[in-house]
Amino acid sequence: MKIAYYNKTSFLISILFIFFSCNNKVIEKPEMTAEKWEVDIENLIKTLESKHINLYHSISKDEVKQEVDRLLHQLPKLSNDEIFISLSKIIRSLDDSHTGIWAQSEFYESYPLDFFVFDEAEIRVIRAPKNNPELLGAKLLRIDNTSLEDITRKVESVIQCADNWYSKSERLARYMRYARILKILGVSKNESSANFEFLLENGSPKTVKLNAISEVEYSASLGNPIVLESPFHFDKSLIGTPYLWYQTIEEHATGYIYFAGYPNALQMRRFSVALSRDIIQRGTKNIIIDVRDNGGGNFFVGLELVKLLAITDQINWETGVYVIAGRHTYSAGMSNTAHFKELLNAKIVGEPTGANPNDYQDAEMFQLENSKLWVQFSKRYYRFQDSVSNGIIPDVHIKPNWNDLKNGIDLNILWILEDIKRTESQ
Amino acid sequence: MKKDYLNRIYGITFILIFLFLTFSEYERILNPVPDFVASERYIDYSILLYLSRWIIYLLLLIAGVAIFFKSKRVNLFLLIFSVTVLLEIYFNNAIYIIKSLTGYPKYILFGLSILCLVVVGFNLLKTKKTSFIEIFLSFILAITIVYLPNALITFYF
Repeated sequence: MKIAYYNKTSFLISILFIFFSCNNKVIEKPEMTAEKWEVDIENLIKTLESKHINLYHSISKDEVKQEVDRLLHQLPKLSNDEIFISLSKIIRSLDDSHTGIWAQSEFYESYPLDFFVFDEAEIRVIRAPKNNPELLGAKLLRIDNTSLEDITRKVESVIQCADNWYSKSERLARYMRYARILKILGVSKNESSANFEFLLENGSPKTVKLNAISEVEYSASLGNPIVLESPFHFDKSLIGTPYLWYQTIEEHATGYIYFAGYPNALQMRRFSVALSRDIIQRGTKNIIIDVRDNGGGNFFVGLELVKLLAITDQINWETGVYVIAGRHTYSAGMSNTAHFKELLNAKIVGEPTGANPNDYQDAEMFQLENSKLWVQFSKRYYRFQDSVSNGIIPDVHIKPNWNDLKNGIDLNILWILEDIKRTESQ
Repeated sequence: MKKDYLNRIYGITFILIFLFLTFSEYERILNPVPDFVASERYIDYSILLYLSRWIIYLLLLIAGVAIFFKSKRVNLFLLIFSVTVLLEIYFNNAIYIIKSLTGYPKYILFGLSILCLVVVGFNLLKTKKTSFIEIFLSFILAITIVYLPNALITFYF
């Protein structure tokens, strides 16, 4: 059994929120004035221009300057939240996978819903509020009479760090539940509650008024997540820790590596030595590396795993290595997916990765002096493919669908185990 | 005369524990399933993962022999053994994802190391037979032993 990967937050964003939460204890909310905002905005642009490897790769400097000047001109008329949203739009317009801006955690008050974007017209609740379990699987139609099309268009203009349709969808599902963002964008009428209109699974419409809650209360306010059926689960793992573990199933001489986060290099080496030792001992021939929840870290650490696996002779190097990727696979998670494909001859199964193989990466952060907003920017450009593509395109593209998800079917694992059986019988 | 017997009993106890741990270790690590023939790489990987543990067993043997023969340096050996065990347990609990010391050997070694520390502490207060240099040396050696497998893994790959 495996917890549904769809509702897990990306590593990067989670880290940012944890980071902000920790900082909240010591940082007092600053009293902002137009002058202080001006200093921060000038500092933001100046720092990005000096530190980003190529800030204006997707938009001209003049266009950004126009938007910044317009914002500076409007500062006295705007609230702090409106200024932050305007800045988010400017940063979003840079269209950079690792450049973004975030407020302190209290800004991200949330409605108790977890969405998943199946396609533009099919955004469903995959984790419903405890008080409204009937919303599970419901399709979102409107928020405070704003159509779904308008919601997605407006919210997409402020999501941070997205690369292609897959990462945009992942961020969109998250940003669509942030109460203050919906209010400022004009999606909802006020920032503490909103009327959500759904089409329930039984085909009947339903409108529910939901109140915003803090990000800390968010998880506790939701019902249980959908659990995917799988022979692999951390409780049965032989070695590892919740974000990096290894399990085998003897029946098909198959080993499964759940790789959602990065330890330090030494830890990864020890993990890789222990797992290679187990592969030798059990005669494991097939390896599944699951990076669906891998939102990033240090890809050089992931290469330690590649190095140790690559020298293990008994693995079926022709057809026996599989990587499960998805929209949450971002940054170093995407880079390592590319490494697995190139160096381990892995077959990629699942969705395209959220990050593009040829793009700006390697992030660094700084905080604006007055507003205490956090800003991240890219320092390097990486090329993991000869051709340009939106995400690493899987060899076997498995599109998630609600029917299988609600029944707890892990289509990716199912396909891989069938493929292993097919290979065995040949 | 009575003290001699006690020393011999303590020394033999340490040596017996060493033998028990070593044999069970061989079965568990190098001969995990019947008919399994450990390849060279498998043995290499086992050494890289468990070297510090095996050195700790060796230190246990040395401490046992030192007690048995009433060595003048018995305090030093006991100190090296206990500091190494405690440091290894700390690394396992606080740092390692892949543990090098688990199960009953961990508890046996932890108990023995505490016992040895009490004995060394008592000797230090009563007889002043343990010097500062010995304490310093024990810590340096313990750090080296615990870090050795990690250094070898880094060097090897």
